[in-house]
Amino acid sequence: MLAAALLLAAEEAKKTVNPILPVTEEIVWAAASFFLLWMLMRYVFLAPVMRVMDDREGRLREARAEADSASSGADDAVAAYNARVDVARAEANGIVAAARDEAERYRARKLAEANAEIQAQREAAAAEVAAAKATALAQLRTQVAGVAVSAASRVVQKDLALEAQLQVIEDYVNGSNEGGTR
Amino acid sequence: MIIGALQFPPIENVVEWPAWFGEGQAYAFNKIAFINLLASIITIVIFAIAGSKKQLVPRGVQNIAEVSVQFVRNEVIAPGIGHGGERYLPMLLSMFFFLFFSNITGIIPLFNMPATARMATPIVLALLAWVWFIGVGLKHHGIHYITGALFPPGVPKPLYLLVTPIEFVSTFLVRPFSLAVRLFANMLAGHILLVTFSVLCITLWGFKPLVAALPLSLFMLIALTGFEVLVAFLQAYIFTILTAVYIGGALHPEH
Repeated sequence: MLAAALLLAAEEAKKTVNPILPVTEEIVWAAASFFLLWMLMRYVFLAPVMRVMDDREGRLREARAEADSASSGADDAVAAYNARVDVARAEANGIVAAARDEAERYRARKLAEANAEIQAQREAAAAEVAAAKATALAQLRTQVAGVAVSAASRVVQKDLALEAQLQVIEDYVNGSNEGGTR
Repeated sequence: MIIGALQFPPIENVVEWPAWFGEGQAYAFNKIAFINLLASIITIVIFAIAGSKKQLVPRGVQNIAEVSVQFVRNEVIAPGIGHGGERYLPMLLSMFFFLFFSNITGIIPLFNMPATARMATPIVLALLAWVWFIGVGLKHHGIHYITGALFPPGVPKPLYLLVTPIEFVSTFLVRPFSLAVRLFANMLAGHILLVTFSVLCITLWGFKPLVAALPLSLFMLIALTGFEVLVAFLQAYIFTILTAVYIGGALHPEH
């Protein structure tokens, strides 16, 4: 009776499922499936994918290097262009400066010529004025001496020799002028 | 189990699957084994097709494979292992795909069961991760990896009485179980939720007085199905990145 009860209990326990505990055959298949996958991935199937990815990476790296190189070449071309522009600009500035100097020299020359001409004209005019002035003074002096001699003749009631008196006056004036400048 | 008008299937009907062949043998093949095998085959097919295409601009399957490789490289290996982690790419990539396809079958009609809702798949991968990170530590640092982990430098000697057992349990015992249980529990919970709302929908459909509640139950079922897509991806990612972190810790214990 007891043996039968124990047998029944054992059978019942065998039937009772513990959902937590792992089952041997599932462990075997899980391990086999995973190891199969792992080995095939490691030695067969992952390498081609990695190779494609590495190739692409390499191509991208090369393309990037080429792009950098092209960019560097473009920078060099821009630098050369800028250098040529600078040279041309410097040349143009030189030409402009030379032209400006030439114009300045031309202007100075013309100005000097004009000033010289004005000076010459001024001197000629001054000489002419001085000559006219001297002539006028001489005439005035003669007329004044004549009036003075005539007045003196009337004062002394005697004809005075005009020429001699004029010489006297001339000498006086000259002497007075010399004394005045002394 | 019957609750009111609802008749929930017994737990063994929800998670246990009969053998298709080899009943009673260690090689008995059931639905869970089929899902595991299918997860491997789908991954292999994806990478076989991707590897045969050499398009400069990847499309379709090639794009999926390359994006997943980039994802594991940038989001798992780089933060988890860092320098020198590239050599673990085949294992971590296989792990991610294997877990994702084993998870996602939970919402695919006719399958309706994630293989990871059974403990076998999580425990196999968790034990592999455990063996792997300890092996990496021993390979790169010898016995100093174990002593360094159990006796962290800078700790006052008397404290080793407390620290060493904690480090031993947390580093060498708990890790594989936490990995396995986290994945298993999340997937089993999601599976049971989907079963629950499916049963509820069927019951409400046949129970006229409460048929008005059917749209709500159906909405929950659809929402949870969408949520399970996220969970399938997230759990695969978490398991893989934790494995990477453990390997990284063994490779660079000074960090």
